[in-house]
Amino acid sequence: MAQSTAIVATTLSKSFDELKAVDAVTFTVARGEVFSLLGPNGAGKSTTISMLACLLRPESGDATVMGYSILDDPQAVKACIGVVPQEIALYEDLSARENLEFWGKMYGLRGAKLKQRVDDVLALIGLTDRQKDRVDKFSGGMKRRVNIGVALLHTPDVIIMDEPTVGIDPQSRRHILDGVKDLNRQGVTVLYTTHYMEEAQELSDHIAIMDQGKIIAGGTHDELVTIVGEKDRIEMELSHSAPELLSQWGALEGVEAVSAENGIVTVLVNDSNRILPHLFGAASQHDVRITSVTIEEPNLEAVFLHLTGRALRD
Amino acid sequence: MKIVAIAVKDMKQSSRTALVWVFMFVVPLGITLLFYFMFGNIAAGDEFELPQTAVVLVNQDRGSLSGGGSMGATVADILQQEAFAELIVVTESADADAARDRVDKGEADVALIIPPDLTDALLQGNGSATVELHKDPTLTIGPALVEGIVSQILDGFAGTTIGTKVTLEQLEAQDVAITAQIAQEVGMAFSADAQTPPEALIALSTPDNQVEQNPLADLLAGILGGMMVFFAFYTGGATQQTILIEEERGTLARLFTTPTPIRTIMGGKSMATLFSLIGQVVILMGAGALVFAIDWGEPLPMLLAAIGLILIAAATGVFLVSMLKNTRQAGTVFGGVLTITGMVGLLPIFMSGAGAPDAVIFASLLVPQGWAMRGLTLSAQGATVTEMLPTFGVLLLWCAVFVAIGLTRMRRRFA
Repeated sequence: MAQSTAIVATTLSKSFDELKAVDAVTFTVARGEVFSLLGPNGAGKSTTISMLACLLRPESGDATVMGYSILDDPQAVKACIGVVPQEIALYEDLSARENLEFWGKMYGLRGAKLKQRVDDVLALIGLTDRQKDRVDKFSGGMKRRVNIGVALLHTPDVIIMDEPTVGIDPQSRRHILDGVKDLNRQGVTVLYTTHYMEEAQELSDHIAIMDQGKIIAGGTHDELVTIVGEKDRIEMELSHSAPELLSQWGALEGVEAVSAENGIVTVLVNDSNRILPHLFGAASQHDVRITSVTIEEPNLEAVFLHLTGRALRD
Repeated sequence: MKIVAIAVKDMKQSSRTALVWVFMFVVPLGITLLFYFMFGNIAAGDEFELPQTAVVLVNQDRGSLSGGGSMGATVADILQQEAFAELIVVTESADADAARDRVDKGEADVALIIPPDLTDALLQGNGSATVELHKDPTLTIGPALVEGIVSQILDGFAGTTIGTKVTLEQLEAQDVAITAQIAQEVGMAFSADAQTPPEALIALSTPDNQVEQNPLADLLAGILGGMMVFFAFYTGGATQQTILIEEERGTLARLFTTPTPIRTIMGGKSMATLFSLIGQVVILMGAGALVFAIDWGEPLPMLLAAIGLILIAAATGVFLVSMLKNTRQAGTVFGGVLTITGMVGLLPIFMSGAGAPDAVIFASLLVPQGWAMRGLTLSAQGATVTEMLPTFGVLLLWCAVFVAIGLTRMRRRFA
């Protein structure tokens, strides 16, 4: 195994009854990079990282983390990873410090080193002043920060973060994203799952897009965007629903794809400047008024739409 | 030691839950205290104090003994002795009607009227005299007491008369001339004996090695022992239930992502259960001994009973939790299963007064609580280690079965 590789997942598969949650997933995460698994809810991201964290045993395939096999040496794998679960996993009737001390002991820290690491992490997550407060008195964002802090106590080589920004306020979200960047600057490898395209785009060196248990695309942001051929994305809101209009738009030359979700119509086009007048003209013919228009350069959302025919947020 | 860290963490969490304190200590001690107040005065053997009986004594006895005084005066002296001071208060009166009137008005309990010929009747043995006891009809114990004392005195005097008669007849049979002086001297000698308390012919004694009886402590030993067994099983279940709570809150899965073996995690939780139970049993037994003077038995049998209780309560917790899917089920199961089996197991202690029927004892031994209670009861009754061993052995057998099933199911669940 090359020293530059932190994680190597090879044809990992896992089923729950009839559902194939993860289907032969293969990817590689280099040391010191931020690698994101991007996909909608139910895509198989959490199941994949549960296998990497040795919580679930794969039906087939294997993976190595820092050279240790998740099948053959799970304790060694666990020692070199820090896991940030999607839900808050803390003892709410204990204080922030008591939580960190307990989890530190579970990672094998003792005595002065434990105390030092707890102090360091409390400073890192900005909760030194509130360290003696019980966690159940904290806001959602503060709990998230402690939740992340637990995974940093033993200075792991790899941190696995499962959608750590779900359901929190923008300020705490910003704090977490900046924290991930700081960790990465310190050389920590981060495996990050999210269904927020913006987060993956901002944080990641490499991204794997997952859908229905499979990785459907992977690479850097720029590499992924080329999949949709540098297409522009036009989002429109219409005065009322008109399926025949969408069919007509889809047939226009230069239009790659048309989809409608939650009252918003998304159209992928080669050149928005050239197509827009035709879109307005067709709408006029069907007595449909376009109430808002947004034009975006190619992004991961467009890639997902291009690959699956569905919006990522679904 | 990770296992200790997990145990300490669990106990720290438990200690911050008020309900835990309530069920572990407050309720068992509270119920025992309730019984203490209900039965304390009677069972503790406190002295029952009779009210003093007010006696109006009318001594009309005109007879005279050779040494002076009369039989009536002797009766009056005896009634006013220090020995009877706590039972009767005697006031003397010269007027019999006035004395009866005081009783009728409720100013006195008893009027004791000694007739004028009492001495003569007793000394000469040829007459009869009647002592009148006029009493308040609403009273029973006080007048009966006075009647008893007076009867005893008069019986003594009657014995004097008989003795005098027999002696004089014997003297006459031996041709001794009976003069008035001789007759009176014989009568005086017997009357003097009658006034002297006889020495006890039978001495009552208490063996030095006899166990001091304390009925209240025995009663409370059953109650507190029962409560301890009942709630120890809840403690065992509740502390093991943290596995389900942690599973639902995601901390158990997070523990599994740390380099901590599953057996260490489960061991830590079991250790927390054992420590909690040890604390509960030690504190309750200690409080029972110190506060309620309960004698739990000799040290070694008591230790066996306590260990048996702790182990079976913990094992039952492991077994029950392994059967449950979530904490919602736990509430139902703990509320139902532990309450019903607990009540069945403790049935004999509520029937100990009349002696529990064999069927009840048999039913109680169908559940582990019954065996745990049996161990405590045997120890408190002074059983030896040898006598304790069968019960302890059965408790260990219950533990082995419960733990084997529980651990097997847990291993499958978290593998």
